[in-house]
Amino acid sequence: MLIYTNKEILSLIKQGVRLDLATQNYPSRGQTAKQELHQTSIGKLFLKWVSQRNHEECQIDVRSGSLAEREFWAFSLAKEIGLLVPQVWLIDESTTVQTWLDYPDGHIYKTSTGIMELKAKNIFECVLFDWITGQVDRHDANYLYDLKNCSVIPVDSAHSFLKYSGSLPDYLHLYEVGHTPGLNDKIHSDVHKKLAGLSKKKLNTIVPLRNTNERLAFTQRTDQIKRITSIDGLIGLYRSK
Amino acid sequence: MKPTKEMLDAFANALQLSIKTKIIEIVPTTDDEILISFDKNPSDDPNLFKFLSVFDGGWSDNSRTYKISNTSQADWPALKLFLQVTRMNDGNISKWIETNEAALKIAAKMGIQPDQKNPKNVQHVARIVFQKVKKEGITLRKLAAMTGLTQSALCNFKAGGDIKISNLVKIANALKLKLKITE
Repeated sequence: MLIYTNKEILSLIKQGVRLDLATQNYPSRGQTAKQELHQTSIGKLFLKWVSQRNHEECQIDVRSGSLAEREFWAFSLAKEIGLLVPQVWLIDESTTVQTWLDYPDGHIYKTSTGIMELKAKNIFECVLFDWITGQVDRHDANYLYDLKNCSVIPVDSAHSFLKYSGSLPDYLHLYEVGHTPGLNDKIHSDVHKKLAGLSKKKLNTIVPLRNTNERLAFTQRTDQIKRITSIDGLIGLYRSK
Repeated sequence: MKPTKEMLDAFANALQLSIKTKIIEIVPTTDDEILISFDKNPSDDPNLFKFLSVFDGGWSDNSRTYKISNTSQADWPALKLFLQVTRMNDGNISKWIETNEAALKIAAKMGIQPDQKNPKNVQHVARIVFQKVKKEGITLRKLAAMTGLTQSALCNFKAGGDIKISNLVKIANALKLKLKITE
């Protein structure tokens, strides 16, 4: 984890070099009002601004939390439970900066090889995260794939914490068809333990939603996963919502 | 193949994602030559140097411009995919060349070879076996005679198809290769 203040991060970006070419036609980065990739002395940093129009198109209740805030809260929650995601800095209510991880996204890997080895524990933990955050946008360009460790890394988690439940993540579709016999296996996970152990007060501190319905839905989803021990159990939550 | 404008654009995107130095432009100068201009001398960008070793070419303009020659010989879609998937990360490259033949050829030009001692799948085993076959100058017909296997079974294995362990042992014995499984 990098320890930099917002001011230091913006200063690093200012001293760095903007890489315009890198974000042209980049599939996972198309929805945001403005986006820039900068090469800095601490690596690549990705700067995003979201507009009022983005919020309207995605039906986001800005009074409860803007897309930028939701992205930051999702990162803060992932950090709390020990799930690997890119580090995010919330600059203001419309702006975030995140570290750029050099991994292919699911879009590229899946379509070029037809094979994607996935590990049950990693999938279980990512689905736990996506379920409780009510993620509605986990398509195959919104997760990275670590070839070396065969693991999924969720990115661009701004479309989260809505009052209704999320949609089945793309990587879970892939896992479900490829690993049917093992879906019911009980999985021991530290991420699950940490999530289940978070008090409502702590959850509301990490994710300070201002809309009561969204806050209730979030704590309810967190309660639901306490009894879940398998990937099949998580799929059941999506299918029976 | 001669790269189209779209191919070059996509390649430029993928290259920029994989290196530190800012690319100013990538332009074809003749039918078989491309110039890549950078905003500075990329001396502190090892990924860029590693990747450019794939091409025939050289530096000019105080090492800020790289001229790629024989561009029609390059497999541009494969080069783009190689960059998109690996981002020139060593771990990603090692993993990617285990399963992708085009990536294996690109990596070989950079001097990167797969881990021959620890094959990860049937295709990888087949590659090791048939490298030995090529080195020894053995034809498939001769290998079939040496092992008692049919030529079509050998062809299937060469193409990445599965093989019985008993047949693999026959091939290994015929080629004086050792099979080893360790904990």
